[in-house]
Amino acid sequence: MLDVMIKSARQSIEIDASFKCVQEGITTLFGPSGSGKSTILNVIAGLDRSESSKIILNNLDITKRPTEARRFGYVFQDNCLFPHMTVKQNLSYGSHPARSNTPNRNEVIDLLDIRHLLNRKPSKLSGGEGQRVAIARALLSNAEMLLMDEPLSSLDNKLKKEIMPLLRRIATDFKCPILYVSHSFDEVCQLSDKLILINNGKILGSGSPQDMMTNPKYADQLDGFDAGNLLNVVVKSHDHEFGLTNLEFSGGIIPVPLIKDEVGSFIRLRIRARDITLATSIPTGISTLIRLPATVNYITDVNQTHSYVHVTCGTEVMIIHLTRKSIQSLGIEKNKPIFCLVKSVTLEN
Amino acid sequence: MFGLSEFELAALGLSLKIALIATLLTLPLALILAWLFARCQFKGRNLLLGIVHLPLVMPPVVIGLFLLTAFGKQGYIGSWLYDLFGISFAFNWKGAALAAAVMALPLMVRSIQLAIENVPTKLEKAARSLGSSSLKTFFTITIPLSISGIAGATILGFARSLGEFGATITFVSNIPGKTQTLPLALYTMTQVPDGEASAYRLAIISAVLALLAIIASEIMARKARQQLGKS
Repeated sequence: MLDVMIKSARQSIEIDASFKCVQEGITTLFGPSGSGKSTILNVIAGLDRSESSKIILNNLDITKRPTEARRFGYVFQDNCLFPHMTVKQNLSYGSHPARSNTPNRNEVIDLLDIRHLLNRKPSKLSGGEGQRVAIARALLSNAEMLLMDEPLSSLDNKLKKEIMPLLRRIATDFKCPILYVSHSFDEVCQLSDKLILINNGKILGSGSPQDMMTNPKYADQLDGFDAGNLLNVVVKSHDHEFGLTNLEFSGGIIPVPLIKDEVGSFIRLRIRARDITLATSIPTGISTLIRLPATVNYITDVNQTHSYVHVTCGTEVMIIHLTRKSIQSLGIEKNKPIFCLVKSVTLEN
Repeated sequence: MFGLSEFELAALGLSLKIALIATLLTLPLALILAWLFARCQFKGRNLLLGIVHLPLVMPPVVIGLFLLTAFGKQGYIGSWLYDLFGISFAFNWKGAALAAAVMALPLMVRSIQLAIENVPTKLEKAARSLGSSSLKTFFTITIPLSISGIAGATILGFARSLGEFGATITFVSNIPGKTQTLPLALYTMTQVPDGEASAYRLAIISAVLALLAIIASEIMARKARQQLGKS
């Protein structure tokens, strides 16, 4: 496990941040550009010197070690493949000593689907291919942990969607935890097991992405008023006649525009707090497809205008963003049974 | 050969030998200095930079005088080297090679420094993060990616050594067969009656050698850009 205390004032921004990463899975460091995320990653990797920081990896103080002895695999924004070597040579370059569960070379190559690229030079790779090779190279260096600095930011949305599930599998299948830096809310939603929110070099809060997103305290930082809900759902069935996929969770069925994932696979569904309408009874003569029964937990007022209603839906907690006026006129109060209405089209992607 | 006299051939042969040895000996030092200047911040960097570059801006005669003072038989370093290793630079081809090396050093350091600075530091950082020491990174990433630039710099240094005149004549004089390189022989020919034809022949050889070197180093520079994926 990685446990760090970073102090650095060398860049334009003063950083004072302490946090722990999850032992298994992906920890994301989320914040706006210029909030000090990359500097933190560089200090952890030893690429930036910082005397007053402390970096503990698997109970070992590695603060004084040079970069090459810290055993992190670093994946940069641009792939940083060595242009004078083939893909194969790039993959063999890493030379950390073997670790307890060294990833199998062939499995990594197959997972990232780069076998057909092995004899190519990096200049002959597309953006997505290059980044997949870079990820494989970091993994095959026998790193104890991977550090990723916005590795998908130079790729288009389609490629991002292809690579994100691979990152999750690297963290779980190869038992290689990842510290992932990003300013993309989508990536953070899909990837995080633990979400650390950072701004101006300081940690604002951390926790599971569900907890963080349903906490109005962080709403402003987490995509402004796009605070939302992250539901773990399973693909139940595809309705090809209407082009819909039915997702199931403890609170009910959610039909969304057709997705490619196979029936039975687990995915994360994000529903923005402001896309949900509350009703005291199921209304008739309304187009909304998603109608989830829920119970009100409590209400927090953000300011004179805005409020968040916290509800329990099945076993999940959700928040709904309403105006104070709607809450009053609807008479919403604690323990009141209620229906959450969502337009399916707002759940595209 | 090519209608050259024995005198001219001797000067040409001596020049090539001196320039080759001077360049090969300068190369490792130039590499280390260039890497220091390109990649390291340290105390006294500017002073060292200044000293290395002095031969580029000072009259070569002054450098020759410095060398004579330091490396002559009675010189501070020269007498010490002679006592310990029996090496003498006074009035022989080794002295001429030393003079050529000192004069070529700044040119080589500058070109190699540029070549190294063109290698993205991110690639070196990536190598370090993959477990490679700074020495291994230097030999497996930095040098291969700047090799064409280094080769170009070496060719330029060789050409500069071939043309060395002022420092050489001041330090080791103009002794036929021993220290009389091509430019020195050319100078001698301009001082003797009926030497003009010989002087022109030597001048043409010099020009051709210099031109070949410049073309070769340009080819290397183009290769260097291709290597780093730039057009």
